[in-house]
Amino acid sequence: MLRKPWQPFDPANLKAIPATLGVYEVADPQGRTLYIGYAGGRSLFGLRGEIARHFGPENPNPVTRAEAALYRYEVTSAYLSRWYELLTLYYEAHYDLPPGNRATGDRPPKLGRFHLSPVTGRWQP
Amino acid sequence: MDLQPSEEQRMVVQTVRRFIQEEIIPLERDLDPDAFELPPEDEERLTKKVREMGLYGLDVPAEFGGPGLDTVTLALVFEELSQHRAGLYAPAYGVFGTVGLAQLYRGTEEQRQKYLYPMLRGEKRGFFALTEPSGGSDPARAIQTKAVRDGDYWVITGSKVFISGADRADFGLVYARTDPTKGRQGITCFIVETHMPGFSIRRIVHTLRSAEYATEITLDGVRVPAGNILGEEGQGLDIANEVLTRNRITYSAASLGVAVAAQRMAIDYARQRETFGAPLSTRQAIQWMLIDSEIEIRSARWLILQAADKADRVKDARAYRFETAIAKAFATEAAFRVVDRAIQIHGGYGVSKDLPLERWFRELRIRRIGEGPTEVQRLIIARELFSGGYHGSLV
Repeated sequence: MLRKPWQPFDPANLKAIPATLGVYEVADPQGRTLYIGYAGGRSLFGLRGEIARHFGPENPNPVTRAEAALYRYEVTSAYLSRWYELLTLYYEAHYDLPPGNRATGDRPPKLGRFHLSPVTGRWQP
Repeated sequence: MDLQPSEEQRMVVQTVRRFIQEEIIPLERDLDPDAFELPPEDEERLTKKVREMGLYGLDVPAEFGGPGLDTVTLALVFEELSQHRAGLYAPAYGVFGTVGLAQLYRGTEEQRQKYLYPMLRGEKRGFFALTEPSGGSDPARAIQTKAVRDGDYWVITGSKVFISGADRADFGLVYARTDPTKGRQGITCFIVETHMPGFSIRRIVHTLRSAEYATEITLDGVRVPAGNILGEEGQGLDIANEVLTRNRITYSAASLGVAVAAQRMAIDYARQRETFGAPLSTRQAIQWMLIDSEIEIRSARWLILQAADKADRVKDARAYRFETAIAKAFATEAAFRVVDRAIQIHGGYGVSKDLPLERWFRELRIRRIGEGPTEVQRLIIARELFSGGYHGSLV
């Protein structure tokens, strides 16, 4: 997971979020991750635009629209491999994708596996 | 001696070229500039198309169900396959079949049934694990992963780094030291299944490329059946080198393909872009950049084809290692320079993600290190030059 503290979203501080490439997470008020995303080469305003999208009135994602309160991010040019890594780590910890990623209807990337399951002794499905 | 491609080679190359231009490049307009895979529906559709074309598993020999292309034709094809944004590390996004573990052709029939054939059918994935944190260019000395015999099993302990695809694989080829007293002859190749207890992915290694990232793996007392030794005990590096040497030809050809695509873009842009009232193409500074690039592209192509031709004629990899080293060292370095010049000609757009040049530039930087860095290729060349039989002429 990202090693950054969660921050409450405040539209007044939007410009403090860099408009760069990177990965980010959005969470509910209790800090439960709702969505893991990235700001890639086609993002109009980088992390700033992608994060703001989850807190705006036209957010098409029903999960983050209803519950998003916090966010954190990491600036990186290796945004795809880092995004993939974050999703895989989340999957191995929760046996599922974050609810907001599932809700988009987009097919998730083909996730790999890092560890054997402590429960079954086999790779996660 | 005939320097012209045959009719069959022309046909295959033109088919692949058309496929890249008509099927792959249009999809890239909607993909992230660093994407390394297609949406599943596109991947499925295009893979089916490639299978119908009879070109799936390009480098698979005919006796194993592949098209059975010779190395020269393969080099020509790889030059075409890489001519799109993701082409260097994800040529055609893998719809022509990923490059398999050719070492498995040397396996027993049981090993082929269990690993090779499912891999060729696309049902299983494999990885190749030679490099370790202690080094990769000199595996005979660098390999510290140990395998100790325990009855009908070998127990493997150690770690590997810069391993592509291990997190998605079902099995892999792992090189371990089975006899610490024998140096190069003490390295053995094992087929390790990723569900075996003690195998885990320690981390993803993030690099200049987002596409096809590498992993670091840990083997903590992994028990592997003795029947999973590939080839003979102590012959691991011979098996590895045979395939690595041949792979350097297509590796170089793919680098060349990107250089050709960058040169084409640079020429087009130099014709259109005007500065101080005249097109860039009329400026001698720009012309000379393009001329240098063209000389390097053509030189690289003939070096690659010479290595490929020798690979087809002599078969034993040790006999064409010299030509392959020259081709790899020159083609990857030259391609990097060609893309660098193309970026310079494009100005600001050259380094933006609007164009593929910046991705090629980053990935070509890795190309000068991967599959044996330029310096190691030079070592191979030097060894041959001083071996005593140098005559320097073609005939």
